[in-house]
Amino acid sequence: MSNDDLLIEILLRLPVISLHVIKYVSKRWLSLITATNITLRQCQISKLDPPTGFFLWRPKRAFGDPSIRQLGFKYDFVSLDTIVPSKRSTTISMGFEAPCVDFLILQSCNGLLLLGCEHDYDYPFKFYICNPFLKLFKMLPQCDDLKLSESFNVTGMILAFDPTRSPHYKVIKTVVEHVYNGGVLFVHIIITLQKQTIGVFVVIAFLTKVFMVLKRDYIGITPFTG
Amino acid sequence: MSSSSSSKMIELRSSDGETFHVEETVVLQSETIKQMIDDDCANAAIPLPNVTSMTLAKVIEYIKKHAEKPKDDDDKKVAEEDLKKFDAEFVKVDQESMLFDLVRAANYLNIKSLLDLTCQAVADSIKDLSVEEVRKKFNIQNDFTPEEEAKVRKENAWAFD
Repeated sequence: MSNDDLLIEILLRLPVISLHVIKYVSKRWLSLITATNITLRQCQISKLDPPTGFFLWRPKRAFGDPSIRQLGFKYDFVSLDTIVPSKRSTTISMGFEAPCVDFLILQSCNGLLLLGCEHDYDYPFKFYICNPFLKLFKMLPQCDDLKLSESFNVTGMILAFDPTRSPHYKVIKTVVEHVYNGGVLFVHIIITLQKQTIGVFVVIAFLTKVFMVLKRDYIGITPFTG
Repeated sequence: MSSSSSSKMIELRSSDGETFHVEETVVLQSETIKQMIDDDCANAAIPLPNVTSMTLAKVIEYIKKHAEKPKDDDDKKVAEEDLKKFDAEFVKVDQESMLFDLVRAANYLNIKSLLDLTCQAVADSIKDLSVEEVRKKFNIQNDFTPEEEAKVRKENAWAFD
């Protein structure tokens, strides 16, 4: 394959992990594979890579112990693929560009990772989308894009990717507000997709028993007073 | 048979001078040839200087199969399954160079589905190989010095190395 375009056509169809392994074939291959537009073009081909392995989180101490942060989050990488070895006790090292040293892997989605990171130990997390292959980061916008009261907490971020529908990854965010009122817990959940609200739920619970779930069409965010 | 006899035949000539007669409706899957026909350049045999007769015969086998139209919806499902089986068998070629030739021909003739199929087949054949095995398969010389290779491996390690 002396033709770059045709070689790229073939490379685009390889699982990301294979590209990572074979990029050292030659200088030409390395430059073709590490060019950022190859990742963009890969997304246009409807394919899902099979899982390569698992990251098992191994907390050294009990959760909440500040010494864990100094050590960094450690993971055991359990490989499911013959071409990459399993690895014990690895940390995410993102190089100098990394905005944070302590990343917590929240989710992996077809090659991209959703990471949580505490800046200066202040809560809530800041969320990042990371391409561990190219070591590229993007911080997700904070929840103040929705003008919510302070009692709302971001409780969940989920990366979603369906190549049959769109070449783009989506982020789904859940924001929850808990309000206690006379022993009754009201939970107000707002689910947003790319800054657009796609669902609003109100869960009313008494002690541990959920006895009502209301789903409302989104009209506008009205402060929930309970 | 009536449809095939009434359809216009197009003559294709391979790089080694062999001629092939293919129905126009079949050959239109090639964007390159379609363009030539639209531009009225297809009255004589169309020369394909980049495609050998062996490769061209395979390409024609492919586009003929993919030009078959199912009669009804029931038939459609069967035909889809049949086509999948055909595609899977089609890329099982004896010689590896044939697969590369098909990639080049599909690219030159601009037949997107064939390009997808053959590129995926090549990708599948290398996805579990080591760097050394890929070099051997593609006949590539390692142009890194050991120091350079160690350096780029360090710089380009993924986040968990």
